[in-house]
Amino acid sequence: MEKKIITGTIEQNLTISPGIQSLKLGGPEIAESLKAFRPGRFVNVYLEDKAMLLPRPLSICRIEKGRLQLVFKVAGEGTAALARRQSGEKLRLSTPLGQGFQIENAKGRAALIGGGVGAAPLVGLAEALHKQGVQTTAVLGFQDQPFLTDLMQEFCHQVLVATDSGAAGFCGDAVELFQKAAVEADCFFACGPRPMLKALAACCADTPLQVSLEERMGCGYGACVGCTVRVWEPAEPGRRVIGLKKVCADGPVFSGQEVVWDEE
Amino acid sequence: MKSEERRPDMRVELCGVPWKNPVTTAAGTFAPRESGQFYDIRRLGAVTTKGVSPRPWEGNPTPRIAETYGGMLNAVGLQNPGVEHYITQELPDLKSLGVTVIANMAGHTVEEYREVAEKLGETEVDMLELNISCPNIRRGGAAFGTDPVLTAQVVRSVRRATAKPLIVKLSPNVTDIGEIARAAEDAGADCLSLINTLLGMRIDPRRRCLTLANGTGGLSGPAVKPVALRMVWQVRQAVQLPIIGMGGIFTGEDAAEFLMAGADAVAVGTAALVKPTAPADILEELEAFMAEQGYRNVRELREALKGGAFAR
Repeated sequence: MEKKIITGTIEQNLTISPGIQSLKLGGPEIAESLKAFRPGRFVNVYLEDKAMLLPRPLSICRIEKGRLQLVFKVAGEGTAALARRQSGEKLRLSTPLGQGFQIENAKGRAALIGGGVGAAPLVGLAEALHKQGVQTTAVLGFQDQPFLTDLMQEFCHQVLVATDSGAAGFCGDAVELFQKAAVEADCFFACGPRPMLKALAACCADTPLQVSLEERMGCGYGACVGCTVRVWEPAEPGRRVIGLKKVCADGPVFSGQEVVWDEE
Repeated sequence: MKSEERRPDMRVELCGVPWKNPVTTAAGTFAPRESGQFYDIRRLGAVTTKGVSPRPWEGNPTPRIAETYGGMLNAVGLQNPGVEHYITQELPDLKSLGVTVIANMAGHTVEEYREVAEKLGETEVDMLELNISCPNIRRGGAAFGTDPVLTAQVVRSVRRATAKPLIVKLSPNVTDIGEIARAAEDAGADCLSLINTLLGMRIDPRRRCLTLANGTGGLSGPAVKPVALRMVWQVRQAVQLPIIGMGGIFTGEDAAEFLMAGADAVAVGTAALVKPTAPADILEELEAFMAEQGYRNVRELREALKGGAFAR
């Protein structure tokens, strides 16, 4: 079967910033599953708790030497329980799900814009772009404490940091910094809260922009139609209509121009 | 009970349609391509596809999903691309795999249900399931399934629109499910399926808002299993029709409980969202359970419960 539920062994489970957890998984099934990795894909992690049945869809930060690194925000009881799991314990998860960033045609310069834990999938993306010879600038915004910036430094030409509190770097959000720094690139990639992505889509309408969306999911693989995003779809020439796509199976990465932003 | 373990005969027949085993999917929890990436969907007795309406429906705003203790709430609202899309894009692939297909039908009005039934009646679909029990749409759905007169009216009308075996899916959000079941039987239903989800809700007390954008949603999962089982049991006493039982089936033994309570077949729903391979796994577990307990076929299992017998 193309997709599977597999078991991984926790090799490291670290709090890398208040409320932000990095989970490294290894083992033969993990190593085997990595061939399905593409930056921007995610995995479903199962909690083995009959009170909390639904899988937690977590971003793949990067893969390294047969290991899978997930980075997630502790947002509720389920992710809090995951943050307490110990090294050596087994974890049940899916093989990579969703459609990742499209980078086959990326060349020249790229800009990656991340908000909070949205920085997670941008690490693997920066690494892949780096291998492709693309020169990358990252603009990362955080509430207070930056994280993953060291890893980003390894793969990016330049890493710009903003914090809401002003504790580090530019005082403000990632989009403000992105505009202030007048970052120029041939393509943009972003992951973060929806208002950030919306602001970004508005200020870079002329450049290809790919955004990774978040939505409350049920199954995480396209069966329940719980996570829907409204998108513009071409109709007859010169007309477009609103269609619906599944964030988990058709995304989570979409074209910034495709998403219908103006509904909230 | 100890007996030689041989493979039980899992075949069943519902309304003249042969199934290779009594396990299907519950509508709205199965997508042919996506589910088929995790297991061979041809293993199932039948697949039940997501509700289709005469024209595309947008469904409800997000968030549509909320986790609850031992279950979940959904307020998808029957988002679907419409019956034409289903007939041209989805059904041919399914039929080419040789699976038995149950098409779930949605509508706001009697006329809309009729229209879908007429269109699907001309296709290769094996059975039709009339969804008069969705709690997440404002018009139609459970508005029909919670009233015996309206149930009879829509079932009678759809019955005339198609010759396909007609399953009517019942709502648990009623005082007397036997009364609704009898109304559906008298109006010409060939089979009943139950239960649909139980109407529920959640509030996020910290953010001081409703957890689902729709406010209310349908509760499913292991939390509802005792209610579902009780209702299958009650409907078994009320009507002669075959029953597809569902509601929180997560294991082979859960499925056995429903068959013993009077169901002829079972559907797996929420379990497939929690574990994509669940329908196939549960089938395997049911078969193993039957072999271990010495049942030679599904009929023996269904007849195993002596009237009102208690466990001792």
